Amino acid sequence: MIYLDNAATTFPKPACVICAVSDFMKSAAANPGRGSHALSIRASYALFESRALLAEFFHTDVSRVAFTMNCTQAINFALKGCLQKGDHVIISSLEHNAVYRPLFRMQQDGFVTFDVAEVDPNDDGRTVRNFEKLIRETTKMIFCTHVSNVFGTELPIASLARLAHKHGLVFGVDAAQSAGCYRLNMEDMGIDLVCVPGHKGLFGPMGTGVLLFGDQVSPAPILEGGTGSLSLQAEQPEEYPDRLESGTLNLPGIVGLAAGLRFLRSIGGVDAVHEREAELIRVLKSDLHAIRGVKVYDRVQKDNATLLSFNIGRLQSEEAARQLSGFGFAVRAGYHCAALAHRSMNTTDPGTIRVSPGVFSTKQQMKNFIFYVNQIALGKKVC
Amino acid sequence: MNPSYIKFAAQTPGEQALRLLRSKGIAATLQKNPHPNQKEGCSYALFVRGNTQNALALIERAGIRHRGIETLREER
Repeated sequence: MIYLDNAATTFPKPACVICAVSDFMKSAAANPGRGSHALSIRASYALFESRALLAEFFHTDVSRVAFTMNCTQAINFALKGCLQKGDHVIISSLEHNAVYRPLFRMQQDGFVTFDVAEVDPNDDGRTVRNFEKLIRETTKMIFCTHVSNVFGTELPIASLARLAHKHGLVFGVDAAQSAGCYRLNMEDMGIDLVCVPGHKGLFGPMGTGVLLFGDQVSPAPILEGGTGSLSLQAEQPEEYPDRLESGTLNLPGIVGLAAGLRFLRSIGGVDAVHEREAELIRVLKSDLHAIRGVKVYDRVQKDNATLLSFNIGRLQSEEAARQLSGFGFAVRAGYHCAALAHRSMNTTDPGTIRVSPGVFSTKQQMKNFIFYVNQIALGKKVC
Repeated sequence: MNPSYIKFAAQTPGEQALRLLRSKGIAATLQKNPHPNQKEGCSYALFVRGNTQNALALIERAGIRHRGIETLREER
């Protein structure tokens, strides 16, 4: 199987990640921050080291790195922990359901209101103006994706951060697709909240995510419970990250995530990964355009996008993905949990086929993929 | 005189402080507080080899949240 679904989760995982998880499970998987014994202390140290690596990578304070189960949970923590009754939020037209659904529910419950700003993929200035037009007196936050998980469209997050701060708003970013392959510096870019999956561009195991936040925001917990600190006190501790981390963490996963981050650095870091994946998409784009009947959605992305959506004639995208699987290729099709994005780009019928190469993908694999897309376009099926 | 330590409510600020002091050549160890406060419960104790007050000043300057200096009680 040639794996081209790295936007869903990176695969295969680097050997060092697998070893880190396995070694930790064998030698030190005690509960961190709970016991006074040597194993618990070792586990606590591993947890702190992982946290410190992430803080350094995204440029925030180590106490403002809270581990979650995944990016969706981090987004829920960010939205529900920072918004108060009556607040208004502005999101983009390319949001994943991880952002859209919590806000939709909060709006249904009469807690907050939100508006959707149209993204102009070819005019960042216009995108920023579209956000600005929606700001009103009760607006508290701008929250948007960094890179669309369907179309690879990159939003001008540094400009949006400036806009937010000009109006005294909190600025949050869903970095599900960008963490690990796009530059993301919270300090320099002025980002208050960043939500990150561990299992995508950071090469960690599933079941890991991170909420990182700056000192201008103080998210309230949406989960309370044991933290290993101030245990006789009824109130949840005020200290971060404990305030947001109740219950035993997925420390084997977190240790694997830290190993993934070290792996990322060892292969040249974010810029090298980005350039490698963007080059593979360029190869794909130019050849897909040459296939009759194939519609490529590349006008909505920059030349350095790291994923690509397309369709083969009027073939349902799910059916196309099934046929590609028969030829040995793993791609994602359908709606990618992104209702807003598909409505915005008029692709609800027939969805799109998304190709997302990773650091282990090769140009030859792209060429083979194109050959089989051509076969499907010609109506040939797997034997 | 009983040894004193800098108290932290949670592990992360304790580890941050430990790392800060070590980066400045000050030896210190962090452990779960052997004498937790009966109202608060679990906390962390940073034992500093050298002047605890000076270490605390460094920690404060770095903006690390702490709960002040306490003295180890006698075990009976």
